[in-house]
Amino acid sequence: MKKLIITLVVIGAVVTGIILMLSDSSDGIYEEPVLNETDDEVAFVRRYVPSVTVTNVAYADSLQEVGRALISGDTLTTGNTGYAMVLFLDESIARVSPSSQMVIRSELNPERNLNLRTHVGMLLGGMFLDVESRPDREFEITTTRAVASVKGTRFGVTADDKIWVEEGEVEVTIRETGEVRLLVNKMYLQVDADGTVDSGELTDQELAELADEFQILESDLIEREMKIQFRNRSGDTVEEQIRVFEQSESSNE
Amino acid sequence: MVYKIFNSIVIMLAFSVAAVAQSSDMELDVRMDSGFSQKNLSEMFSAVIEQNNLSQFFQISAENRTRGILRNNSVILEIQSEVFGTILTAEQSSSGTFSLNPGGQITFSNLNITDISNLEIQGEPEFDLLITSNGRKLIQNLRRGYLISDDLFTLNVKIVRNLMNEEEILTQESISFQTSLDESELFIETDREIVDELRGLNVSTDAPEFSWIGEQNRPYRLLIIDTDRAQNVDALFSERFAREHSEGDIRNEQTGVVLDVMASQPSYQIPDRFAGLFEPGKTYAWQVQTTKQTVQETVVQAYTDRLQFTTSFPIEGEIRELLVNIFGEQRTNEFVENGLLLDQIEIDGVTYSKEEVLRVLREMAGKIEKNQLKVVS
Repeated sequence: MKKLIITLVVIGAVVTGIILMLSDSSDGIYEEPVLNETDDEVAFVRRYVPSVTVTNVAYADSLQEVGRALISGDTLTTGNTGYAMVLFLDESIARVSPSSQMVIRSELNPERNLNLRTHVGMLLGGMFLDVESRPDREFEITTTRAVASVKGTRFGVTADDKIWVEEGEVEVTIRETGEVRLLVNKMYLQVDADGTVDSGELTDQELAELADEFQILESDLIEREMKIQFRNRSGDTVEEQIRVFEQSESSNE
Repeated sequence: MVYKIFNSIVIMLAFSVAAVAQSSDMELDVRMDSGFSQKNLSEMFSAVIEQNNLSQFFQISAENRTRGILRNNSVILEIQSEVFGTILTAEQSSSGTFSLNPGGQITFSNLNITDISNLEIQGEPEFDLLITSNGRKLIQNLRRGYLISDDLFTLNVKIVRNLMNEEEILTQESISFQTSLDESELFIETDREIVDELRGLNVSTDAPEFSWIGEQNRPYRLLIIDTDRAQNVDALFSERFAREHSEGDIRNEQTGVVLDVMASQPSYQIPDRFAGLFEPGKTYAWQVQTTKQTVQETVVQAYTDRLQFTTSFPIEGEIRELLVNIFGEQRTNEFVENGLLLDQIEIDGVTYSKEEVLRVLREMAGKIEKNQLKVVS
């Protein structure tokens, strides 16, 4: 009898363990990868339209010129007119739309010249990426309800959990359910607040419209000071000063 | 016999001394006042005619340099011009005949005595005037304000001795001065305030007034030219002004003549019937011509400077849409509510005039639409 009880307890414990294990995975608790982070530069801001700020524990810098280096742990924020093009060491490119915020973390190879594992935490806004396909590297983006693991692609992500692929492949894990979906050319996926997942295929026009938002970052930018002069009813001059960022006609990437 | 011969010689000598004394022993000086200019010409004639010396225009001084008395002298003034011939002669009557003792002096300001010394004089000098018909015409034209033109005037003064109803010229002196057409009279000044107001004209609401400085009731010709349309603006101005004005030909859009009108006062208000005459963002040149008569009764042309103004863009229609691209709906509405007009644009220190504003804004809008340009602040 005692053996039976012990056997039942053991079985019960094993079953509970299995149930617990199963329930853990179904809760979708995502643990951010542990990266071997250093103070080395992991990316650069190649182009930008103000305002763009880079913050970390020790600083909060508003960008004044291109070429700003980013280290692992930096938070990049764009204002309501701001755009940024972030170039990683492995030549992956992230184009960040206005009113966005993300935390960039990356582990470099021993030579400190390539990103081995990159993790971008998308907190606000959106971005469009070109990521090189390399079997020995990881590139992962998390949103509130999804994790996009990139296999090498051109794709977009928004903080409100929309992911679309222009070309290539992205593996998306729904954080709440642990469900994994593979998105390929022209496919999109949207995780709603109630956990439902909407997915499908985008038309060429829809894809073009999504990519269009980042068009400003496709060429080097020239800053111009512009004064627009008006005359008021008294005949006096009223001047409005604005700054514009315009694509350079000579440089196209 | 010898006595008679001696007497004859004495008498002959006395006459010959007197004859020699006529020009050398009476020193005569005629000079114009240092402040005299051709602008005083009309007043000078008035001073001579009215025999007043409210202002001095010329001065006549005579001095007896002999040891004897020079008796019964009077003054004759003759004014002549190269163009008009003799204008007037003022000959002193018997009143005021003067005798100068040795060293005696008499000075006239215009035709009035102002200084005397060592002389005897019979009353105040009075002058009989003879104005020629040419002289009358000149004086009348001067009083009408006609322009003084090129001429040479001479004041010829004689001192005569009156002997038994005979006049004998003791001495004479003259002074001349030239007149010329004053170039400044060929220029019509413009009203700076109006010129400034025309710049940035809101063509959709304002009917502009053109104004210049000039006399009322004078024929003025206002010519406005579209500088974009005219092939040669200067040539078109010259050609139109050389042609007589015609009421049947006050506009010619093809050649760029916006308006060619006459005004009888120094201003012209564009009438309502010419609404839409001016387009926004275009540059117009304007000039006023009038004719002026000279005292010689010839006609000369007077002009304003050739002035330009460029019309502003009211913030409406396409301009409004273009500004919304840059400033947004709310800010653009504020511009409209504040009655602002778009004037010009400066990019990196380069100013784009009103003619180019529309092109620049359209280019910007195109780039904004293609996400090739972002407005930051």
